[in-house]
Parts: sequence; structure tokens; C-alpha cells
Amino acid sequence: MNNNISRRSLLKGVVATGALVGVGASLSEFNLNGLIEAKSDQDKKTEVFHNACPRNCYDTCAILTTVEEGVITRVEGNPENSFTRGKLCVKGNSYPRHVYSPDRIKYPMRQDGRGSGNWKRISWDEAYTEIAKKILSIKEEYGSTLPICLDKYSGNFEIMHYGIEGMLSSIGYTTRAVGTPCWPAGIDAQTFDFGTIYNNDPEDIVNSKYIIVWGANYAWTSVHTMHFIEEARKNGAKIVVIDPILTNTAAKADLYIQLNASTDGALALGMAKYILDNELYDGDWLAENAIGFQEFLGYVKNNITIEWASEKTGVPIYVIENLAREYATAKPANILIGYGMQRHHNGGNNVRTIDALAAITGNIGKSGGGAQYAQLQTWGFNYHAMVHSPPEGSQGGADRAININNFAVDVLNAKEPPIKMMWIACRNPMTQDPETNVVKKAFEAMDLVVTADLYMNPTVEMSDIVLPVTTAFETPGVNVSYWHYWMNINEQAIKPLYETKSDVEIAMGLSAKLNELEAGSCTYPTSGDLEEWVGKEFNQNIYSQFGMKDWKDLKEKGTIKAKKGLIGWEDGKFSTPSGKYELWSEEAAKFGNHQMPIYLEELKAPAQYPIRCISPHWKLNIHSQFQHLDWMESINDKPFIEIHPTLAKKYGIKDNDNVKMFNDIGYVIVPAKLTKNTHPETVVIYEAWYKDKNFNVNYTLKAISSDMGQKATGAPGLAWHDNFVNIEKV
Amino acid sequence: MVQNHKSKHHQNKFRFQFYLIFLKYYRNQLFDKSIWPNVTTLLTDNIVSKDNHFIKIGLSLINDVDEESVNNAIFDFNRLFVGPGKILAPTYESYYRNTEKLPMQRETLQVRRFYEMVGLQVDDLGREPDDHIEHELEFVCYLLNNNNEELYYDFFESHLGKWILNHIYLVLENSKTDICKGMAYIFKGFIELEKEELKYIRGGVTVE
Repeated sequence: MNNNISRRSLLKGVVATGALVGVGASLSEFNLNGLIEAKSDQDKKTEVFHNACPRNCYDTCAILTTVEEGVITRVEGNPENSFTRGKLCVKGNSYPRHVYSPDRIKYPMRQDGRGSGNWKRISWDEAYTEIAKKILSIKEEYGSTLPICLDKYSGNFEIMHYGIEGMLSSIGYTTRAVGTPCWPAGIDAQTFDFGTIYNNDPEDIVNSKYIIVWGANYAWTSVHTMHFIEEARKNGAKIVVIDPILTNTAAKADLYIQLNASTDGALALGMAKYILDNELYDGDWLAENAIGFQEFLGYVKNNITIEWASEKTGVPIYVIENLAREYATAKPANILIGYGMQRHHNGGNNVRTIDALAAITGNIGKSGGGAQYAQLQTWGFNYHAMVHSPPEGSQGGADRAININNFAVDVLNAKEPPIKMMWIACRNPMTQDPETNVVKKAFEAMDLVVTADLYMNPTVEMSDIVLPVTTAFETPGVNVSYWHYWMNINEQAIKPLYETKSDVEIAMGLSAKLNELEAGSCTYPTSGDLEEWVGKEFNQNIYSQFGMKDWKDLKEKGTIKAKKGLIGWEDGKFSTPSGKYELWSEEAAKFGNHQMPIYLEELKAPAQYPIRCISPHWKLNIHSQFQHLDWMESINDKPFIEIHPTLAKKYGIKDNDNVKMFNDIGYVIVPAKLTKNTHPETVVIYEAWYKDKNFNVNYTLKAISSDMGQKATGAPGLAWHDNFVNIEKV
Repeated sequence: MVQNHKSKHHQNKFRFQFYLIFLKYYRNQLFDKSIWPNVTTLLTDNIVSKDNHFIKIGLSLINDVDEESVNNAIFDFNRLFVGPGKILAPTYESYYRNTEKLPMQRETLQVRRFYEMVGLQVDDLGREPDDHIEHELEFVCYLLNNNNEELYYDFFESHLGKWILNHIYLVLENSKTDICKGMAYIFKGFIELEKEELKYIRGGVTVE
């Protein structure tokens, strides 16, 4: 058949668009909308931008981003940075897919019924209007903005992102999720001992003669640190890893010591006992720099035996003795303290006992030595985006704090006034908080939930309005690390895709709308140049610390290292009340702890839930970030439970059997991976959010507090690894 | 010759009107109770016959829909093309043609070159992918409206025609409403006929 004839029969007589009868202009009018007359200044060149990985990660990498015609074509490590040394990790290398993921949230949208999946696209103006009206009506009804609750944390640690807190401060006194889920017990422990957290430059690890990696898995979570550990080994250092799991880091050690989970303090005190009994301690250093040594000596002599430590930890006596002797006699010796072991109800005390080892051996304040946990020395920004005053006449008196580690319960229990609206940013409580079922209830109890995010996830699913936010590549900023001493500028490499906005732009837009509806109702600036705002974060102290004249100097190489203060406590001036290292801390007692680093009994498994589950970090993600990207899925898209073969046999579980792990609050069903790498009495499920999978280990996790965290972070930590469960084959 | 010219001219007007409807559909401008019935009328009475198998199915699906169906179709439309979840039928060419399956790839820039040929570019270049279906349909409408038939054929052969059926396939696989399904069937029928037409006109050119 002639195709022209076929077409003629297909397309009947109507010709001119204006001639259509009865259909109206709406269907026949054509005008250019998305396309415009080409501009002559189209940018066709290839440029390289400086970026910074803003994730909640030790390494905070300096990135070079190649942009061709406005499109990112490559990311790589910035070789100017001697910590990250021109290399990114598996997650960092996936950044183009993170930016260009087809799953990006592109436009502001409103859900017709929380959890229904029925979304309609709205304009930014509609979004601002609905949110602003709700804020004003809450203020009208309750007399203050306290019913509005902010839950924001570590999704993006770039400094301008504190503008989210600033936005909430600008509308009045609000309720805030306070604290940190990750590391608070250890922070308090070091705060009681040293005055604050202040690790040596991790590049200094190369000067160590003996390194204990205690409860950290850098091979997965800080790949660049591994380089310096390896360099130290080349220089003759011995590498010891202490962990309940034979991690990839442990596999690279000279000595791996597997201990019973949560008994780290017993091992440290057993070592201390050996060191003190054999007079391997540094009396001179202690006399000059510490208080409470005699009391600590008395405690250890009277209460600790190596036999006891061995029994508690499952580590043979001779191993403890050898470890103690080697550690105490190798100078300098370095302990790298991970965050895993402080995620127990006795976690803070565990860290204090380990700190004590460094103190009694005189390893503190020295190159190659130390008890390294983290540092905030390089974070002395102005927090210009964050610091804003409430409007004049704001009621409520002060912000109301609720515990980020028991967020859902605190939200539901809040009274006078109750919490009616939540703003979620840089956070995914539906996957990352304990007691997921309660979290869902808290969301359900709200009048309005607004979530600003990059991708659809279970928290967005439970929101009324979602606001699309920019990636690091689409907005300027500045980043520092809580581990190394570099500062990385983050340049805007490409235009924000679709209708995405940075959190600061969102704050400005909302402020404009609030002021339009009620003049003076929000103090946040309604406009501003974001790059200029980056400059406003700097001050003379930072310039002096980093040897800069102007923040724009950073643009030359993209990354700059602090020029001083690279060895923690080198000057012997501690930030404790006594100014000394405090083996005896009155401050600790004020917060309900013993004055000394003592052994706080580990939690015991109840009879019906006899197995401990620990949920450490997974190699392909940071919490709920990255594992959902297709590249990660192509490496692994199946959550699993690691079980020691001995334990598995007891429950009749074979490799790859489906296992239900449960307790009284929830369950999760995953295939079993039998491995001798895990502890015989501890199962492991790596915490992660897998897209489109009904998996979340936190359904079984109770919000049990750890012993410390209140002083420095405002709320106690969470005992993530004191999760007691049972298992069965299903 | 005159006759031929006129016929060609008419044909481009049909094409233009057809693409225009789908441009407006993908712009989400049709889901309105005052507009939707006209879409059905236009497609049924004026633009397409009921001869084509897919068009026949499509028309039967979009006829006689009530207001609630239109409303549900909006949610379906958003799940398929807008978000905020993973979009079920991605709306840009590079997803289908580039091994990376991402927006903003080589094909996106190739499409940018096409727009430049007639002095056009995407507004706020770099925010929305140039090869987004809305831009490609708008470009096609622009070409047909300006009787630039040759460039339309070129563009269809090198771009739109190379991916749109794969997109429609995903729509048909994932849509839950008669309206979105019906529109996909009609679009499919039209594109297949358009491909045959091109084969006839340009002879020997294979279009995937």
C-alpha cells in the first residue's frame, strides 16, 4: 500500500490549526516555551572546578570536576590535597550518577495523602505559600512557633547548609532534634578526659611505631587513612586491629584481636593493669600533665585482673599481656579509636579507658602518638548562614530540644505545645532512626511534613511536600573534615538541575513569602549572592590557622591545609576544668558518670533474644546515601545477615537461607551469609537503605541510650550495637 | 507539482497538530476538565482515523472518561514522567540511547547542536536536559510550523525516532490509567506510521 495514501487516511482533512472547530485555542496554539532564540554567549568550553565531598565521612575529599558544555563529564581526586592524594572512594567516583540520577527529585511536589504515592507538581511559589501559611497559622493558634520541629543532621556537612537551622531560628523559637546519632559518647568521653576532641593530623600516622585501630574499619569508611597506616608499616610500625568483626581493615593488620562486643573497656583496663603492674607507665608525663593518676592506679589495682579482662573479652591472657607490653614500650604508639565501640550503653566509658592507655604511657601530645577520635579544630567558621535572631516579640522563650536519638517518641510526647509540623533536611529518619514503627507514627501525627531532599526515600514517602535540593556540584560552599586538617572550597560547577534549590535559597524564598504574608514574621534575608555568602563564613582566626589572606585564595588549588595545631595537645594545655588531662573528672560525675574511666558492665542479652546484632557501616554507602545508585546496585543490591557458622548450625541455618531476625518490636527477613569473619555470638547486618526493598534493620532497634553524649552534643548517644534479637530460618 | 506541494503542506500541518497535542500532553497542560474532552474530540474527529490498530486501542481507552479518571491520570502521569519517585518512563533521549542511562550525555549535546541549526537553544541551558521529550516535541513543532520538513526528517531519523518507541513501551508497561495508556497507544501508532512514511520518502534509511 502506498504510504502516502495510508497517511492520508490516517490524518483526515483538518489542515490549518486555527480551523479546528470547537476545540478552542488551548489545543491549537503553539508558542516556544522551553526553547528560546540561541544566545551568542553559549558556553562551549571545558572547565575544571574545585569541589568538596560534603558527606558525613572522615575523608571529606577534595574533588576536581571536569565540566564540558555545562555537563559534568568526570570527577577525580584533587592531587593538591596530601590526605586524599588525588583519589576518591567508590562512592565519590559515582558522583556524576548522583547528580544525573534519573531518580533525582526535580520539582516541588505535594502528596495527596501522606504515603499514598499520589503526587502533584506544584510551583515553588505554591510550596512557599502553603508552608508559610501553615507556619503563621500555627503561631496564631499556639502563640509560638514551638510546634514546628526541625530534624536536620548529617546528609550534607557543607557549612552553608547550617542555613537550615538559620531559617528555623528566623521564624521564632522552634523545637529542634538535638544531639548526634553517630559519635556523641566518644565525644563526651574525650571531653571529660582532654576537654574536647582533638586528634593529630592523620597524615602524622606515618610517624607511629605501633598502631592500634580500635573499632574502626578504615578500609571501608576512610580509605585514605589506610594509606598512612600502610606507610607507617613500611616505616616499621606494627598494626593491630581490635574489633568483634574481622573487617577488611583487620585483614590487613599484623595482629587481629577479636573481642566480645561492648567489652572494649575490659580489654583496655586489662592492658592498663599489665602496664601499671609492670611499671611501664610514664610517671613523668602523668605528674606533669594529668590529674587523678593515683586514684586510677588504685581503681585498676583493686578492681581489675587480667584474668577478668580475658574472661570478659574472650581474648587470651597472653594476648592481652603481649599487646599491653608492646603498646607501652613502642614509642610513639598510636590508638585510632573508631565510632563503633562507643555505640554501646557503656560506649563512653569504653573510650575513656582507651584514652587512659594513651595517657598512662605518655603518648598524648606527641607526633606518632595519641588517642585519635576526631577533631573540630578546623570548624571555626562564622556560621553566618546559621546565626539569625527570631523576630521581635517571638514567644516561647527559647528553642525546645528533643533527643535526636529518640526523636519519634519525643515528638509524640511533646506537650504544651504539641508538635504539629516537621521540617526534615539532610536526614532520613524513616530509614536511619531506631524504632521505625514509632517514627512512622510520629510522621502520621503531623499536620504538615516538609522534606527537602535529593531522592525519593521512605521519609519523602511520608511527607506532604517535598522540596528538591541541589547537590554539592550545583551550589557553592566550603567544607572541612572532622578528621584531617584540610579545607576544601566547593565551587558551583554546573547549574542546578531542573528546579532544584540549595537549602539557603529555600530559606530565602520562604522568608520572602512569610514577610509578604505577614511583614516581620521572618528575619532571614530574602536574597543574597551565594558565593558572597561563602565568603561571609570566614574570619581572621581561620585565615591565620590556614595561612590565607582571603578566602578566594582557596580557588587557586581548591584545597588548603591548616598551618598549625596539627598535633593534638602538643602544648600540654588541656581544655578540661583543671587544664590537665583528667583521669579523675568531676565534670563526668556531673553528667551521671563515674569520675574515672571504669568498666561499666556491658548489656547482657535477655533469654528470649540471646543474640547481639551489630549494624556497622557498609562499604557502598553512608547511611542512606549512595547504595541506591545504580552503580552500587550493580555491585550489590541485596542486604544480608552475617552469621558465624557455629551459631548458624545451632539454628539450622545454611548459607543463603532466608533468616528472620526479630525481637519484640520488629523483624527483618534477609538471606544468611555464613562467615567466620563475624563473632560467634554476634550477627551483623550492615545498615543501609536499599531502594525499592522492604529492608530496614532499624525496625528491630530500640532507642537505648549510651552512657555519654549529653554534655558536648546535648543528648546522649544511641546504643546501636546493643540490639538483642533472635533468629530463625524462614 | 502544485498539487504535491499543497498535499505535503497539508501533511505537515497534520503532523504539526499531532505533535502539538503530545507536546501539550507532556507539558501537563491537558489535564483540565474543560480541556480534556476537546483532546478526545480533536484526536477522534479531526486528526486520526480509527484504521491503525494501536490508535484504535488508544482512542477506545481515552474516550468517555470522567473527571475522576482525569484526576487519577495526573498521579499516573507524575509517576511515569515527573516524580518525585524514580520516574517509570524516563522522558529524555539519553536514557534510552546512552549506555550510562543518564540524562545529560552525548546525545543531549547532539540534540543541542540540532537546535542551534535553526538558532534555538533550551531556555536556561543546562538545567533541563536538551533531549527532554518536551524540548524535542517543541523543536519538531517548530520545524513543522515553519515547513522545515527536511530538518524534521533528519531530526526524527537521528533522534526522536530512535528512542520514542522505547519510551512508549515503558509507558505502556507501567501506566495504570486508561488515559496514560491510551495516549501512549495513539502516540505509538502515529510514530510507527511516521517511520513507514520516512522509509518511503527517504528509502533505505533504517530507523530503529
